[in-house]
Amino acid sequence: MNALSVAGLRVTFGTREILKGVDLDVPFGELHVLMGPNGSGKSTFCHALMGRPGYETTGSALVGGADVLSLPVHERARAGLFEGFQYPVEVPGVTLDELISEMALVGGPGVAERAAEAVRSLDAAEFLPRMVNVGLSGGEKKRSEMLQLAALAPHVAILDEIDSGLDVDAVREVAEAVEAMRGPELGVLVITHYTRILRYLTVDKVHVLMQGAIVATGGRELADRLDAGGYDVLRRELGITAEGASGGDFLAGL
Amino acid sequence: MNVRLAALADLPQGGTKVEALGHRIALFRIEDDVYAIGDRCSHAEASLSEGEVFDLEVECPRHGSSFDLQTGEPHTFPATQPVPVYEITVVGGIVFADLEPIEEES
Repeated sequence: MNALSVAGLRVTFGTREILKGVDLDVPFGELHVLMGPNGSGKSTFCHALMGRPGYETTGSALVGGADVLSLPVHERARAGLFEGFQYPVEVPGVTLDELISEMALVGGPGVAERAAEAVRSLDAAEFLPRMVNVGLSGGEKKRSEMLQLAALAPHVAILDEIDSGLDVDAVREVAEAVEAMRGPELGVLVITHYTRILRYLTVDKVHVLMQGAIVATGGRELADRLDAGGYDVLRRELGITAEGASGGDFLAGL
Repeated sequence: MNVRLAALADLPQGGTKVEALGHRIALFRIEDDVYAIGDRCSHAEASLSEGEVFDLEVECPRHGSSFDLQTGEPHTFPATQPVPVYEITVVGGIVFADLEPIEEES
């Protein structure tokens, strides 16, 4: 059984089919990376898995063996799916400590215990009495998210562009926090279009998403090749016409 | 390792003695902040959790030495040695400490 097992995932938003049959497995204990140019469907993949309204899906997405595609968002979370947001939402009026207390009511006493450990390892005690994400810097928001991740102990963590808007030191800190979370009961999928965060991560596999499908899967070296030559190298090799590069399409993907 | 000591709601204001992994710990709740130091006075056998708390100091009930709740240092005689200080994390209404197991004193 895999932490995440996506098969034949097609996603339509309005009249646009954005994902055209995505197959992707993340085994427990592994860290995979999903890369792709702007507009390739990376964020759609993330939104559709988590259950954001407006996305029509077919296919299957198994989290720890259970298909989550027909579940409401909170049940997907309970099934063990975690999404780390590109831009974590501010929640005025709710402190992080209150949020963790609520998590513990549903998730049991282990939640507070894991949270306490993460508070120490992430040096995040100062965030507890503060409103969730309110007034935190980009890097602090990511640490706060890593704390929630650790407390929930999901089967799979999908980290969407966790490196965007961060300075070099913060990127390294977040990467180190991700590495610290790794274990035999967690699969991690990092979504990114930059390779700089990969410098600090031990990557098991890299998947490349283009025009709504996984067009290449490989090891770390695949990311390095994309870093050196850009996505055009891959497009030429695979004979993909750069449909996604036209201005109209790019804007539609935003 | 991370050890659960108490639920914050169960702690009265002032001192409470708890034991965990061979440590005898005096927990002090002041409003909603929690401090933790070694319960045994460094001068003679006495339980600091039974002492009176003034600001962030506790006065030993036996000979009156006062100890700083944040540093464990004694501020008055007869004690001259500090008591241990424990790092406390209160999250989700639960009080945790980071402890290494020690052998029980005989």
